[in-house]
Formats: sequence, structure tokens, C-alpha cells
Amino acid sequence: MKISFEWLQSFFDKPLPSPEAVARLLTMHAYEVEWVEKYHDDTIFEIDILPNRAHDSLSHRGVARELAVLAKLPIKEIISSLPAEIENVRKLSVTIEDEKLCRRYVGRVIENIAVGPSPEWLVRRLESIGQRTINNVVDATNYAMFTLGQPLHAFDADRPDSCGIIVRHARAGEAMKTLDGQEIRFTEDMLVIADTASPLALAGVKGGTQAEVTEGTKNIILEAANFEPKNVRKTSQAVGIRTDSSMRFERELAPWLASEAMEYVTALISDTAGTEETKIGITIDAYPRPQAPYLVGVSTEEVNMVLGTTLSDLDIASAFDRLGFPYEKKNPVAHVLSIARGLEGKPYLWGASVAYDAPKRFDCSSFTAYLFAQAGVNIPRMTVDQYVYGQQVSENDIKAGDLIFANTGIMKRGIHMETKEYLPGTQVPEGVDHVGLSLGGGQVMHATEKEGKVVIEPLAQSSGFQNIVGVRRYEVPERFVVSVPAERLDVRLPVDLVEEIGRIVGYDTVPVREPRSDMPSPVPQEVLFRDAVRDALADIGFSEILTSSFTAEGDPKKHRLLENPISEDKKYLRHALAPAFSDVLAKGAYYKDLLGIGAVQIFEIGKVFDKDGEYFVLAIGVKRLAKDKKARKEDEILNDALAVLSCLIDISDKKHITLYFDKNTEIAIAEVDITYAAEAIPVNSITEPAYGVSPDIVYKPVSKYPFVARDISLFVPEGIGALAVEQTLAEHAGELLSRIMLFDKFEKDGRISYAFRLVFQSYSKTLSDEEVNGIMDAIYEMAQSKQWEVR
Amino acid sequence: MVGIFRDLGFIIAEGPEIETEHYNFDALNVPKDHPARDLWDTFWLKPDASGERRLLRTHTSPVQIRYMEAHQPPIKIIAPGKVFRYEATDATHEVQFYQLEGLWVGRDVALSDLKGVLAHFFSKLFGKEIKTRFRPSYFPFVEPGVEVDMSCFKCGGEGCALCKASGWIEIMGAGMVHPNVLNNVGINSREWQGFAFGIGVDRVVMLKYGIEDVRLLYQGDLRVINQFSTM
Repeated sequence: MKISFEWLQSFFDKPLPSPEAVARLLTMHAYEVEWVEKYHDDTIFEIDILPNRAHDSLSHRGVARELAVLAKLPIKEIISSLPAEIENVRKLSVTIEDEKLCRRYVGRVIENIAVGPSPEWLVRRLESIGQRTINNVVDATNYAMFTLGQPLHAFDADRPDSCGIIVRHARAGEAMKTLDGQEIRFTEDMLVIADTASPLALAGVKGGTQAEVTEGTKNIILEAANFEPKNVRKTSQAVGIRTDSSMRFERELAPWLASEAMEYVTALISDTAGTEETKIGITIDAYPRPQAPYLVGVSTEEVNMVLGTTLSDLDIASAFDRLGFPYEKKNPVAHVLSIARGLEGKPYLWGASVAYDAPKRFDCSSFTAYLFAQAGVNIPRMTVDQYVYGQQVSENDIKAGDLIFANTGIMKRGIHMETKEYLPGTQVPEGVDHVGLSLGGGQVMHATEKEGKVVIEPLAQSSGFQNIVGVRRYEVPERFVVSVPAERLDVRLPVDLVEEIGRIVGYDTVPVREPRSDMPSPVPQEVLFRDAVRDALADIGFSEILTSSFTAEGDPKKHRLLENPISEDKKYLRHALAPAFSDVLAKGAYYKDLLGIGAVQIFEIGKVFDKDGEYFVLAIGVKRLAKDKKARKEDEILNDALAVLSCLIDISDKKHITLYFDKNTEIAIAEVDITYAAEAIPVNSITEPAYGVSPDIVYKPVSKYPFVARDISLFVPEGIGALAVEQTLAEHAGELLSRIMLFDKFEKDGRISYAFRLVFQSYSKTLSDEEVNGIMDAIYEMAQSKQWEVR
Repeated sequence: MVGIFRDLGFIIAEGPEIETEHYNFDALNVPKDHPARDLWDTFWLKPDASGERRLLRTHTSPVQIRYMEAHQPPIKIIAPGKVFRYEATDATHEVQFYQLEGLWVGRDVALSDLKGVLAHFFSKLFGKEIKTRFRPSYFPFVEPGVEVDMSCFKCGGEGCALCKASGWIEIMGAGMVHPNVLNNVGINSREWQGFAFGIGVDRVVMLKYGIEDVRLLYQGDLRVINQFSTM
């Protein structure tokens, strides 16, 4: 996301550090700043906000808050509320038909505004982050989104058939034209914002033209809402529309943000589009299930265990202070007991949610889960999972704070015999369906359906606990119980707190623990075998290549097709390695002089695919290059390779090998199915190749310009060796010489004739004939001066 | 690279290139319809007889899940292999490349162990002392999640063209295995903990030797390959 430095600075009274220093702080402690660029008088950052911080940091305030923590600077409050009129503004009604898909809808009417261009400062800020501007109302909603992270929308209040907003599923056949002029047909799983007649907007994604805010708009309805992320994502993908709004909802926002954003945008619009007659209506807030603050606990020991550090209680406490995370140090069991009694008499609700129904209503396991959650210990939600999660304790040893589990035998709600979410599938043959908290002194406290509420009674007399299957203890050391700020939806587990502490304290405090001395592990047979094949073939002059796993040709009945191939010529998964070899062999042939090779010899080990599975295959390819009829034929070279291979595995069975020969192109290829091979080899019979040693070479980049080859034959006096001649030639050929190879030698009349091929290539251009001729002339001159006869 | 880790006692584990959604995403705490899925552009296969949706693995992490399902902790493995990403190809991006992932789960394996193992690995690989540094990042299957930078092997951290004058090179991602991942394979996250890392082999090779274009590695170009002769 693009973030303007100047916009960030507006959150602080004190000056921020330099943009470079800001970038470094954020990158080392929060999120990566990908680049920093000047924009007129401002500086723009491109920050990679990953999904875990998208809940709170896809906005200038989010990043500013992070900066306030890291740079230790106080941040300004920017939200202020303007007074609203109850009577003189038309009434707005809001109905949410699907509470799962729309968690909150805050609406408000503002009357008598003047729509026009936005003020210069607003235009400048939006443009600095690459946003286009439209009018002072739409721009204000956009500006508020980039400031606070909450998407907002404005409707022309006079266009819908009434001031009644309905948040509902689209109906079959409904359609809408978006603000960009696109026609969308809705499906029934999409959520729309509608009036009594038709949809006005695709919830969270895009507004429609019907209630568009234009120059003539005088009265508006503002929307600040919270939509369920998965549905927004599916809808956005289905219609092919991705907006800054849909992107934020997809990544989930805290519902709490909506009301704050409404106040902020109201003040902003009042400022940019307000007139003397402007009237601000009250907010209508449909918020069916407000979320309680989330508590997570972690102990200093746990932090140090995960990070490998030796932080103290004070270090952890200071980190939370800096983050602005309120916390209390609690002994979990003591805390559970201290708050439990206060919940006596609360009504029973089967399937009650810990987040939304507690502390008003409970079922047996939401009661226990809630109590421990308040103490910063997240135990599983379901009774059977809690049973497995806890530490086993004898019935004779029951202490206050232990959980007592029973099998009531009542089939109404089901008896569980295996865990559902925690270590799923763990068997509990004794069956468990009820849980209560021991208060000590023979007393148990539990939420019981029979009584319809939370009761305290002697354990021995409790009908729910006639058949006790076990007692569990959650022995947890004293911990910091943190009340997670509403916008930090990513902090839900103790390890999330560990990450917060780690990044604030800085990962440079994590020490380097030297690897412990373990014995080298044995290499699996299949891996050893393949590496032995590689070494054996390399030893006889073959080069290992890698080609693409995709191919153009195939049989749809036998081979695997891709649903989304990267291109038409790569739509099948390869079913053999050989087809890719002809190109590679041809290319090797083309560059033979540059490479200095007498034949192209390659092999590949890789996976091939068909409808039944995937298999490791070895392909060996040879292309003969020599003009000399006496030089070895391609099938001979291939047979050498197969002979070497047969020392490692038995390839006598013809069904494992496929051979191809082409006399015209002088190519021979063998394809060997080696999947079966590794198992057939006796264990420990393969000599282990040298692992852990990488080639010590200096790589020369490949030039994209063509090479030029020239031959030279010289008669030199007897006694002068080939190497000496080669070195002399190389010296005089200069740095454009890529390779020099001796290809012929014979003796006659007391003299030796050497024939060399010289290959020239430049990294910066195509060499011209004149340039190469010039080099050859210099060589001829040198030869003459040494009295070597050039033939 | 495999050799350095096996010398430290990491066991080499392999797995299929065609994977299920479960092993490639769900088991790694990347549920369907979650924006985190956008972090990997996936090749999907046309449905086969079983009707189950298959894909080409986008990382070798599924190998870790399969291994954990089949073995009791402590677990110390590396998973090398070919992976696939649906991305436009250029000098630094290919649709297929090789990854090396590592996993070490034990009673007290911590982030400090990760630092130590990686520093050892890089130092052995580049033949000189290399430091590592961690920055906050996010992957759904680890928490804390980090980006790992290594000190520039060319200039030793002074600053040069290779490390863009910063002295550091961004090299891989890592973190402490997420409790959900462990619990889902039946390993009790309250008793066992450890780290996981993933590194692009192609990237390391290109860095170490100064190879300019990743596509050269998959074209069978002997002008590149034959330079690495061990003869």
C-alpha cells in the first residue's frame, strides 16, 4: 500500500524521523517498506502489508500507530464527533436480513450539502497515493478509508424509493449497473445493499449508478459497515471486480471501526461539502452481536521458550506498554475461581458463543471456556476437546479450579467419542458430554440444561455428575493476560503475543544457538541412487540438464491436462523426457565451437506424469557432431552410457527402456523408467557421492551476441608443443577469444602441423567480419615473425 | 545444499509434485477463501477420475505435513524438490523452480536454533562467515514468521552492487511452526515446538555464481551447464 510521509506526519505533533529512518524502523520491526520515492515535497512509501496486518494497517492511521510505538512518539487523536439532530432530519431505517454476512451497519443522513470539487489539500493527498478524485463527497469517503482503513460509501438520499436501507441476499435475476458502467448479474449468495425496490450497491464491493452521488446531490446517506470476509471475496471474484473496499473487507476488519469512521467522515464532509443549512442526522447502528474484548495470555517462560531469549518479566511488561496492550498479571486458576461465583444463575443456551453470548448465556463447555479465556488461557470450545486438552488428575485429588467431566447418558445433544477440533480424531471411548468447574470443598459449578441456568451444588448430589469419566487440570503458570486492541484481529493465540514481543524487542536480541552435534543422517536409497547415476554419467562426459515439466502435445485420455496452463504450448504435464531433448541437442550442436565439444551428451532425471501417477525417469541423449567418419557414432556413445548405467541397475528388461534413433540428425536417445530401480538395489551397495561440496568455479555470463569461429593451421618446427602454440595464439587473439581448440595434428618432414579453431564473441555487440579479420591479421603477423608457416 | 543439512542430522524427505489442496494449503493453515491463498499463484489440474481437485505443489511444505503424519516427534527433515508457481516468467521468475525446505520439531527448538542452523548453512555454502538477521513477516504456517537476510557474501556487509549497498541480501522465509499445523497432524503443540524454513535453490545458485537469468537453468543450455563440470 502507498503511504504518504506527509499524511503520516499529520498524526504527530512532534516531527517524525527522516523517511529513511522511518522505512528502516518499519521494515525491521513491523512490515517491509519495498521502496521510498520522492513526490513533489512529499515522500511516498510502498509498504507490503501482509494479510496478518491488513486488519489494522491498511491505512495511514494504522501505520502511524505502528510508528508511534516504534519511534516512541505520542499520536494525536483525530476523531471528533459533531452534534447530530434528532428531529429535523428525515428518518433512516436499516434492516439487516443476514447477520452472518453483515455484522454491523452504521448509517446516517446528512441533508443540504453542496457537491463540488474537493479542496486542494485533499486532492493532493489522494493523488500522492495514486488515487483519482471525483467530488468532495466521494473523495471524503475515500480519504476516510485511506486514513482509518474502514471502507465507506455515500448514497444520494433522494434516489432510493425511501430512506430505508435493507441489507439482504440478491434475488435471482437481479442486476445492477456499477459506477464504472459495468452490468452485473447477481446470484443469490451475493449480499446487496438495497431499498424496497432494487439493489443499490454490491455490499463491500461496488456501488451502483442508481443512487450515485453527483453534482446535483443535495442529501446523502452514509454507510459504514462490516461484511463477512469470505463472502466478499467470493463475490468479488465472481463478478471480477476488485476494489480498495473489497480488498479490506476480504482481509477482515474489526466491526468496532465502523462507528469511529462514521464520525470522522461526517466531520470531513461537513467541512468539505457543508453549507449553512447542513443538518446531520443521528447514526442508526445495527450491530446485532457486539464482540467482547479478546483476552490472550502468555507467560515470560513461554516467550523465552519460543524465541530462545532470556527476557525478564519487566522486558515483557515494557513491550506491552510500548504496544499499548493493556494487561494484568494473573494466576489463571485463582482468577477463574474469583470470577466464577459471580456468574451463578446465568441462563443456559445450548451452543452459546464464548465471544458473543458470554457472559450473559452459557452452555456447559462455553462456561468453562469463557472462565479460562478471562484468565488468558484458551482452552478448546467443545467438551470432548477440553477433556483431551487437560492434564489427567485422579478423582481423589480434585482441587478447586479443576474441570470435572461426565457422561450423562442423555442422548439429546449427543455423547462424543472423539475430539472434533483439538488433535482431531483422538478417541474417547468412555464418551463425554458434560463439564463443570470444581470450586473445592466438594462443590461443583456448571451450566446445566436441566435447570436452565448456571448452578452451584454439591458434586455428590449433582444429577449431571452421577457418571464421572475424568477430572482434568489446566496447570498454567502465572501469565500476562492481555486485552487485545479491537483492531488487532491477528492477535488471538499466545504465539501471536510472542511475535509481538519478538518484533518490538527486536529479533536481533535472539541469540545464535550453535547447531547441536547430531550424527549425519543416512541418505534415502532413492536419492542415493539418483545421485550415483548423475556422477556415473558425468564421469563419462555427460551433462545434466533440466527441462520444463510442461509440454504442448499429449493424449487427453492418458495424460494430465492443466486447467490454467501458462500458455497453449504448455498445457500438458510431460509424459516423457525425450521430446524436449531434440531442441536441447540441436542447441548444443549449434554452440559446439563455443563449448568445445565433439558430441552433444546430455541426460535428465525428472518426473513424468500420466493419469495413473508420477514417475522418476532418466533420459540420456547423444548427438554426433564430428565430420570425421572415424569418430564414434551416436548409438555407440549411448551404449557406453547404458553400459555404465547397467552397473548400477538391471536394465535388461526391455519394458523399462525406450530407445529412439534418427540417422539423419545423428541422434540417439534412451528413456529409462527408474522408479522401480531404487528398490531393487541392495541397501548400502551404492557408494555415496560427495555431498556438501559445491563447484568452485567462476561463472562467465552467457553472451547474447553470435559467436564467430575461425580456423588456423600452422607448421611449426619440431619440438614445439601444442600447448605452447595454443598459449601464444590465445595471447595474441586478445580478450574477445572465447575458446581455442586443437582439432588436428600431424608431422611431416621434420615439422609439426597444428590446426586450431578459434571462437570469438563479444558481450556488447555482434562482431563484424572486419573486426575478426583484424584479429586474425595480427595473429598471422605474429606467426610470420616466429617463422611459423600458416597454411 | 542438501549435504550441509544432512551433515547436521537432517533427514532427506521427498513427496509428490502433484498434490491435493489439503496437503498444499489446508493442512498448512491456509484455508479456502482466505486472502493468504493469493500469496501463491497455483497451477490447477483438470479433474481426474477421483474428482478431487489436484494442483502442482507451490512449495515443498506438503512433504513436511506428510512426514509429520507418518512419524513421531522429534522430527528433523529437509524436503528438496521441484515446485510450480503460475507467474509471468522473466530473469528472476520461472514457472518451475527448486525449493529446499527444512523442519525441526523438538522439545525446545527455538528461534535461536534457527539462527544458528542458518548461519552455519550459509557459512558452509559460501565458504566464509555469514551472519543472519530476521525481520517480521507473515506466512500462515508459522508464528512468529520472519524474513531472513544474510550478510552479503561479496562485500562482507560493507555495501556493494550485489546487496544494493545495504550489506544484506534477502534470502528466505522462516518461522516457528504454527500450533494449528502441529495439532492438525496430531502433534501436541503444548509439548513440541520447532521451526520451519524455505529457500529457493535457484536463487541461491544464481546469487553465488552470478548467473543472470533463471530461465537459462531450464533450457538445457550447455553454455551455462558445462561451466559447472566437476571433471
